[in-house]
Amino acid sequence: MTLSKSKKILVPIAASIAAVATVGSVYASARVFDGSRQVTPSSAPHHVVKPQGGGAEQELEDALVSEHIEIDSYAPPPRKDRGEKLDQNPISSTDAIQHAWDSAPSILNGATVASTSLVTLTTSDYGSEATPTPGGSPVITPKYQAAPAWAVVFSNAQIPAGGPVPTGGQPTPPAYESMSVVVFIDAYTGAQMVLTSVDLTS
Amino acid sequence: MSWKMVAAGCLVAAALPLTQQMAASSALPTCTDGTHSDGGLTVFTSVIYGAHARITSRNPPVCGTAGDSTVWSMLVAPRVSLPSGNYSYAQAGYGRFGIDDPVSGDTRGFHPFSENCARFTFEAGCLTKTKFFMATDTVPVDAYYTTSYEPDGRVHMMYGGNPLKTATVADWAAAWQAQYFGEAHHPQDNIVGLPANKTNLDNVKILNGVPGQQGTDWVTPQSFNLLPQGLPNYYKQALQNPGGNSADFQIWTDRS
Repeated sequence: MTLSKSKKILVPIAASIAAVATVGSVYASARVFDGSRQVTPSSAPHHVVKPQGGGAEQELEDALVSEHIEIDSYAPPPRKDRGEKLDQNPISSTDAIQHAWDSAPSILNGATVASTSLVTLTTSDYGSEATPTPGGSPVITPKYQAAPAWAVVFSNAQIPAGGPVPTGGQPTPPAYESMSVVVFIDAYTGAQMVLTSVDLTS
Repeated sequence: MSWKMVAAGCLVAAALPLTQQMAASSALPTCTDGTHSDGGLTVFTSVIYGAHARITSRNPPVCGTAGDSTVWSMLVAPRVSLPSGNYSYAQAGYGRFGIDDPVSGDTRGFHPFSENCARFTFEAGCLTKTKFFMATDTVPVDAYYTTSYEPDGRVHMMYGGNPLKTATVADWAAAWQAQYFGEAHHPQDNIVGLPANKTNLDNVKILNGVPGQQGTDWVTPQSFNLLPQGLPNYYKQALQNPGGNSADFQIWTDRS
């Protein structure tokens, strides 16, 4: 990482730490992730906690429904319940933000971190598709099903406009659309999972 | 550094492995104004329910953290319940969404993506919030990128035969259109491909069918044209078989 890049990242990370404190992340570990002991999302033990209503997390969950992405709040189980995986905690929110930032630098260029939350992620649209019978409706097996993840919400992300071109000419609409996006990061490995735009009012 | 020097770097880069290509691209200047420039092909027929192409994977040099470059196949349709000039679109492709440290050869931000908009005008862009989705898979070599109307009544935006995202069709009309493009937003960004390593969009096919129903047959389009060359003129495009029946074509950037 170059020095200039570090300078660019410091501000959003600082902002995100404040956001974590105020927006209400369900869990934020200060422990530095030990990459030598990674677990896959499907094998990671987890407790799913239904949101109690209201707040930014509920709004995020509701907004993601239209994107065919389901999330639930996620709380890592107590250490005593985890047997031989005692030393496997989720990565920190700060590390999750860094991984999120690297997923799409141009889209997140100038964006700010609005919140971070530990969730379970299910991607109803994104996965493998099969058509059981000729002419039948396709069936999608989600790539992620209740996978523990950090949901890092960015505001003022820049989505490149990729719309159609008029017949016989170059396009004229705005080149970018400023909006919120959510980047999902594997809660244990830090791997990037998906990025999606989301329509948030706050 | 002059543009000629930059172009020379790109030509040398064409013969180098990926990591070295990225190193060579570090000479590109920083991003300036955002423009919206493309090279590509439009397919017109009376009924199209799917757009499909195999696209070579190339990691294009872009102008820096703010730079981006994409290539995609897309369905476009007029909205029959809205005034003339309103369209819907859905597309699937791959893109490079920024670069921070080209010297190290990193490949951050190089991923498959989908994008759709329920109401679009050429004057104002998307009026209903653009829906953007990006997987974080490594972009496959020569993957198929498909956007098609499926029997579940939704448009599926897919790569490698698997969906990234689906969208409701709403009141899209028949006489849909297929478009295939490479696209960049800054004059310093390259669209995918270099003179010695052009990006192929081959196996270009459309899904025909009965109006109001999903399509049944993937066929080679018989009516198509390359869009007129716009600016900047270093974004190039050419049919692979001029005068023939194939709509397969190539795009690339030539700054020489």
